[in-house]
Amino acid sequence: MTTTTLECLIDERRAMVQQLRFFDAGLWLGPPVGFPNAEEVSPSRLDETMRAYHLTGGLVSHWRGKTLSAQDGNQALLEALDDMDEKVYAVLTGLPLLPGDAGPLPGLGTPPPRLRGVRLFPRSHNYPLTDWCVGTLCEWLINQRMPLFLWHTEIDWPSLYQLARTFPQLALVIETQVQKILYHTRPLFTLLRDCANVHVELSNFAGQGFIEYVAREVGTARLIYGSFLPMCDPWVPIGLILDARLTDEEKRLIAGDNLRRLVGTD
Amino acid sequence: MKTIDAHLHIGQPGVFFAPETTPAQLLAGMDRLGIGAAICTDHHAITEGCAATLAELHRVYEESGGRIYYFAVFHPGRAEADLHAMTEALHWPGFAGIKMHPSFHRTPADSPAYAPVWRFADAHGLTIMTHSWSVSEYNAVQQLSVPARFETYVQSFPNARLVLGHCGGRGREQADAIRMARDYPQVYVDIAGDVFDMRLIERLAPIADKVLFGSDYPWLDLSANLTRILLADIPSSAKARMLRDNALKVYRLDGVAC
Repeated sequence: MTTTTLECLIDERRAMVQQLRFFDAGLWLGPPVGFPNAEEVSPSRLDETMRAYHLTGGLVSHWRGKTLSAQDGNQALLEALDDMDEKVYAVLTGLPLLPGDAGPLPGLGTPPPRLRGVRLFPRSHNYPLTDWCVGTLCEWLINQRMPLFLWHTEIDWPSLYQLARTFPQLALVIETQVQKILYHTRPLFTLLRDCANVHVELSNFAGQGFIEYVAREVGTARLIYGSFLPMCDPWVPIGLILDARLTDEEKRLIAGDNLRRLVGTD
Repeated sequence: MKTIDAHLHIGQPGVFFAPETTPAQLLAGMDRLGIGAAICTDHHAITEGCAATLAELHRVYEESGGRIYYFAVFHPGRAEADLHAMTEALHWPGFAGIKMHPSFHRTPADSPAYAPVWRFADAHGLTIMTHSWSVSEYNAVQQLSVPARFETYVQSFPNARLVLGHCGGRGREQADAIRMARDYPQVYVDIAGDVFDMRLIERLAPIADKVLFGSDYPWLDLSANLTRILLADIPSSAKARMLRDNALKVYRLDGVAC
């Protein structure tokens, strides 16, 4: 393989990446847990890294919203956001609200201006993903026109299916971390087929032909680019989109426009 | 002038939905992405050893026009039959090397059960490509395949090359895989699988002579690990070695025509 051939391939890919205007559902601050080769990045470092990968913006979350408490993580994220690029928006950690709950929590008070989504960690935070427990928050999200993000490792599939059917106006984004979602693609694809409000994030949606399969069976609108940066390599899902057997317009939707539409940043 | 995918599979994987698994679909994907040759393991052989499947793999190699090479899987529970089959296949075209999978076979990589295959590889100057991974909180059998477990055999059989598939996985033991590739001339790593650590390719650049591109198809899309090498912040010469040159050096790929 000559380096000249390689240079051509590289230049072509870089140009395609810039044209597709990637907008990232999975940017993270705070100390990663379970990823021993990853390092925490500062807000300014995250901005720099996004530019290096040609990411035009995205949604940022904070590890402490899972590992410490929803409130601590949300506070840290809202403070960090002040120092970040204006095209970066927040995904706060939610909880089933009870009288007397302290904030900041989604559903309590006026939403912060750069809030664009909420993530729940039902397994880690010890509550069921059922309408009687999280239904009030789901209704709030529908009213705010915000999506609900869920790691697949934090849910059980029957509860998620029921929730998606109970709240068809709620946009749900199933995230493919923090273990392989590959082994769960039969329930995932069934869910996508049956529930038009369910979307899948791509940072580890890497099985052979998965993107084309979902595009063909349920449509490209259900596919959302996410990197899981700084734990994972943004080039992986970028490469999956670049090489997918889809039109440039379909790739542009998956790369960023689907997410921009979901969170209202068009 | 094309890429070589040094770690993939054919056949139905069983444990997940795979919309594309046939050799014809694989070849179409390779053509689309500029992958000239690939080395496959069949899922059948991982479960039952290579004795029953080598002839079929040889047929796939021939029908692919000499592009889909194959590994002979060594199953420690079927050692005698597998070694006999490998001996018969030793001079078949397309037989690129031997595959081990200590986690799947529930046999630690440092078990005496693997001595016969190391002896065989050493005697014939063959390469063993093995599944390697890190200790996992949720998948206990992965500790059977941590890189350090291979080290005694590496020292005892220096004429056998070893490729640590998946570069030791996503955990702390990845550092052992990199150390072994750096310290032993006959040890290499491949990046097949979802070892998607950010800047992994850049961290592997100092041992670029020891790194092989692999997809793990159909567990992963052929393209998943390709762009991350092409767009990595490393010299183009290092990318060329990872994408093609090292595979030619490590495996029996006589006749690669691309």
